[in-house]
Amino acid sequence: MGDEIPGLDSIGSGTRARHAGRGWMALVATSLALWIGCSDSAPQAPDEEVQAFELAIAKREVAVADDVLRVRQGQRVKLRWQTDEAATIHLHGYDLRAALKPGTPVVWDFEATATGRFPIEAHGFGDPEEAAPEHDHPPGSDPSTPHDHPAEESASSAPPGDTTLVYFEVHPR
Amino acid sequence: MIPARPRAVERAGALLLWSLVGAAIASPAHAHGFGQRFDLPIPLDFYLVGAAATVALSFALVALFVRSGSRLDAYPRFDLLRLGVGRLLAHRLTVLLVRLASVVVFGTLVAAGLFGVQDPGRNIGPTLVWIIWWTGLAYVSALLGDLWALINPWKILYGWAESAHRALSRNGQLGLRLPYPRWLGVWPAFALFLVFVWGELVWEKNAIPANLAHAIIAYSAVTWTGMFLFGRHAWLRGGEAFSVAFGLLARFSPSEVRVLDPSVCELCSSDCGARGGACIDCYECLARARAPGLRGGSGTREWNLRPFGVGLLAANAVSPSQMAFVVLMLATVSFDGFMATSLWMDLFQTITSTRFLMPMLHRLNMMGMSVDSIVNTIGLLMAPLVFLSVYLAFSFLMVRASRPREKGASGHYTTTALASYFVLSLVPIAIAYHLAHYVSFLFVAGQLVIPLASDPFGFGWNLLGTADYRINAGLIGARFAWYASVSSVVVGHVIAVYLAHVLALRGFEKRRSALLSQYPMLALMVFYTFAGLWILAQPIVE
Repeated sequence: MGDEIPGLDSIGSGTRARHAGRGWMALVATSLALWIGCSDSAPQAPDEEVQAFELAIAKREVAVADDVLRVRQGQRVKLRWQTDEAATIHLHGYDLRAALKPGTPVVWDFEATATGRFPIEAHGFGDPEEAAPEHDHPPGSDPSTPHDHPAEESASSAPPGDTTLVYFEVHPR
Repeated sequence: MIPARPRAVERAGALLLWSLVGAAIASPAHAHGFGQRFDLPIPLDFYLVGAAATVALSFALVALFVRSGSRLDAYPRFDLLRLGVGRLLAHRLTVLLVRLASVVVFGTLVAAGLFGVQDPGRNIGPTLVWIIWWTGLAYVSALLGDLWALINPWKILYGWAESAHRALSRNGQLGLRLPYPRWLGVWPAFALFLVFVWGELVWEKNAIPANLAHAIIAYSAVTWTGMFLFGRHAWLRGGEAFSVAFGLLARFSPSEVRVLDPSVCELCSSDCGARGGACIDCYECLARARAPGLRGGSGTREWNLRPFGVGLLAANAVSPSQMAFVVLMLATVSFDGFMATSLWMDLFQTITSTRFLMPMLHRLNMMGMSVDSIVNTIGLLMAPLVFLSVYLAFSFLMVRASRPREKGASGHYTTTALASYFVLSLVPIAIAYHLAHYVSFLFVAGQLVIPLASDPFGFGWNLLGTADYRINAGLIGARFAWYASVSSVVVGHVIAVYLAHVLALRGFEKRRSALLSQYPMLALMVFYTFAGLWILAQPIVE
């Protein structure tokens, strides 16, 4: 019964399949080797280099390409914030918070120690009471030990006024 | 037969779902942001290498199988009870201590939910349930063994109640011991699991400790009622969603328990004895083999190490309800990741702006459901249906591909039969995706349990001296997570292809039919693995 379709038999043919198998194995090995090689030779940014960003909130949005700030792990980061409307901004993961008011710039200056993709949210636009932060890191403070603290977001309720302004991505070196 | 039942099940699920929602209404705090994820998406080169390796290794495996012989399902085993440390771990006293600890943790969890501080980060409940138990125990089940069968507090407490009842009343057994209807299969577990997954993925207040405690109490009532009606083991097999779910993952694991004495299995209410003499991972038989009255003790049972994945080559048939449960698990695990992609955001927009859905959305919204939870519920209900349709379509292709092309010759297998027969071979891909998806989450957010263990209620205690532990967000670096994710996805895929081939060679009389049946299956698996990789490569959007 099985021999009625001769064209398909070549699929089951041992030698051909064996060669194919070897070829693919070699390809996998090569691609894996290339991959590991490439990844490890990724350009390394010097640690002293400072990544500075000027961020201005206008109409509840920040004009940044792709809505992403990209830095490398270990870099010093300066985020200089301005706004046209009072709000609390919050960098999750690193757990930095600041109360912004129009006309008063705020600078976050810290080291990007942990890799990841961290949202920067604005809480309580246009509500001066909501905009009051629970605890404010003064400009220039350097919280070099970032920590994940999901509790803090959950304690303060998340009304519809919450918006993600931009994502802060720290890529590994 | 498949499409008919889930509808009834969904209706039952919706009822339960609304009772859960009712419990949630009174909660004050908002759970947004609990257990937040900060994963960097895997970069393009990782994605491409993973995809290439998937395709390449699939073909290499197929080539390998074309020339390899049969007898692929006999596997080596090592009995841990031969070692002193194995006997110590399996000792009656050790088991009792572990069970006591589990019951204490369970009680603490419920008490913390009811009486503790209602802040998800300061109460042990949400971290223990969502991160340690649900995410972490899935890892343990898949990579070590069926720990849940040992520590399941519902099972332990009911077992204790049975013993107490026996000791006090002397007139036999607790409960009605109705025969568990065969047609019911694992449908109760399916329905409860669907409700649970809704609670995990859609319910916006699932991190409020009191809500969790109420849900646990409700689930306890359901579980103990089921056990009272049908007996403890029958309900654990068919109705206890987590025994079914973790047991399924543990089939992949490198450990198993066996009962060697066939006379033990004759008394078993399941058909475990039908597995060609070997009774594997049947905890009813294990409990009976452990009982002091029976002859033997050691020598009648084994606790074996075995190769990964061989437990998925079950010799006994997978019922359609079990097949549906597996597909539900695969679909919900994938939907969890898919929900955080921008493609879902776009679909979300499409759903909310679809004209014929608008009246329904509006009405549900007036009833107090947020738009997010309505649309996510729709997505969660659609995902298993889409998965099931795709899987049945490919099973149909398998039937066609394997059928001898003679005039008048009819295939031996129906689509549902083949779908049930092969469904377990998809489990490694889902496990691999689960491992990849949660690796940084488990090791970063999971650290929360360290301070919480010292202060489970949030009252400012410091029982173990760890209350001041601060989470280290850099414990798992992105690069490690990327390598771990892509490797596990590729390895899971390879194991899945291997298992499907073993099943095919065993199930089809003709070798050619077996091999031909595997081309649609291979295509499906490559597609499924690619989908997992694609999700891992997407930036998380909120």
